[in-house]
Amino acid sequence: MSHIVKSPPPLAAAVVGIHTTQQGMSIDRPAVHLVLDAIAAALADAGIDKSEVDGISARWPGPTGTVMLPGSIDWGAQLGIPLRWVDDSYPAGVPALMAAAAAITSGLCNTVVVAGGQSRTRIPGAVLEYTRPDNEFTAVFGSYTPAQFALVAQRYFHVFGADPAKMAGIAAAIRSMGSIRPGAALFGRGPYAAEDIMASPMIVEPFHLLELCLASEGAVAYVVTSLDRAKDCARRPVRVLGGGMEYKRQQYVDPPLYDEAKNLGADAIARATAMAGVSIGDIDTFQLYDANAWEVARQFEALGYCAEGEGLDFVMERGAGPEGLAINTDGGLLSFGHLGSSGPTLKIVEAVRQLRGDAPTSQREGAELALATGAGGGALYYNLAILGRA
Amino acid sequence: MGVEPNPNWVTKAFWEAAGQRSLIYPCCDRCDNRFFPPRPACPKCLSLQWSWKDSAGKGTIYSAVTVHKAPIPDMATPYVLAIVTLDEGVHMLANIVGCRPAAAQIGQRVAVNWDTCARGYTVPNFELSADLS
Ligand SMILES: [Zn+2]
Repeated sequence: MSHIVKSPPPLAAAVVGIHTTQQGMSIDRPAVHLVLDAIAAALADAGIDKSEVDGISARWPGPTGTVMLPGSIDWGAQLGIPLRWVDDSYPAGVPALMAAAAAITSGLCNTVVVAGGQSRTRIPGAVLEYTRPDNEFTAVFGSYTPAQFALVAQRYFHVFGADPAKMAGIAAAIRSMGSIRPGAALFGRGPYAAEDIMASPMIVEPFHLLELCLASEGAVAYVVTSLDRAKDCARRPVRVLGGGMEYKRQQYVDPPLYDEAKNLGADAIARATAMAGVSIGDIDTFQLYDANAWEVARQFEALGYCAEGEGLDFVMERGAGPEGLAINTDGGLLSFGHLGSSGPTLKIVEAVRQLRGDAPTSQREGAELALATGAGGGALYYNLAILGRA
Repeated sequence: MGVEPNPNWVTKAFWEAAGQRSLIYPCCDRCDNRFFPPRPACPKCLSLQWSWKDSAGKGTIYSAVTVHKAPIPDMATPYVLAIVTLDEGVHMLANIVGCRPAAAQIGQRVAVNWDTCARGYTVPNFELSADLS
């Protein structure tokens, strides 16, 4: 879909290199090795030597180095390069991309690596530690991340009488794309129909196991540089056109009210489209933060694609696949992988693949504009970026 | 139920009152704003002067979900996690107990009950109530 740029976007930065390592449910290698692999491969993809990197946004998994934040400086020491700019945004994903693009545009630095990953996270019998934040008025009642999101979704299903089978249909469509994507944590697991999703164990109502995102292992990295430098890179650059971020409350501390969570994204999309000089109808592919399958529908409502209460119908009628809305074409957090605070970074990487036109599966034909998003309802914060072919 | 509370100087009074089976919430001395969970200052007017007020312990279920997989192994499932809107206007997370999980529905009236959890802390939870006011 072509678009008319109304005014020049203020950000002058592009993603020029990307990499995801093989994702998996359990990887028995140190996280620092996985992230190093991802950084080296993303730089090679860009055709940029590490000596050109002068900015980093990456958590340091150790061992050695400091336990103080930001860990990005540990990465500078590990990579043997002096830095002009560091960031330690939580989560990574869109906030890190926007910060890097702004730093490059303003001249604080030239080339930034954003990276992260995790491994050896599994604890017998318990959900992963980062999914059960020890917040005083949350943990005591047996709440944890999926439950916080469930409290939001449950109110929605109650108010609108929505059909849970349609939520299962969204999960099936996204997981089926993951089942054919090389490198996905759940590659080969699928395809799925809605009935398969609904036959999986109920974790916390209204979510079955297969409607919830993974907690998996692996690493991801990408390289951002100036538009000038991007012209000489090995691969087609993907421009950072706009973004928006909303933080309503610290996640998992206050009770997540549907009425407070439902509009997360409305302000961000208005800012991002104005910055990018595009309309929401111009977006060709949606790399949405699928903490659960219902969140996909909520985002289409909040972003203005359909009315409140109609998101599940909207997605099922248009289709999630590359011929339809082209949602989470890598299998998303449901199937490709979720890497803790770097889970959202996977959204940026798949958006870049789609805009380069070289996604190995589920490529949206002629994609020129992509949306990448992070978190949502139960987290009470949200962010999004619009990326486009340079 | 879940992890025992770990009180600090802002929240200590809440758990002390809970130990006496009294449900309290912060209310601003300056602007009368009620809020929960407790914070160092009133989020509306930023006053550091706020006081604990007694709740009647009655409320309405804003949202409720049945949890079938607990975050830690030693919690018995299923259990009901809910957001309760207290009649005083503040929202809090809590467990709904004393009924079949499916019976705890959005919009139903509830009344506070008390449960002793690990390390002797008393934790507020709620039971379905016939009271309509
Ligand atoms: Zn006040």
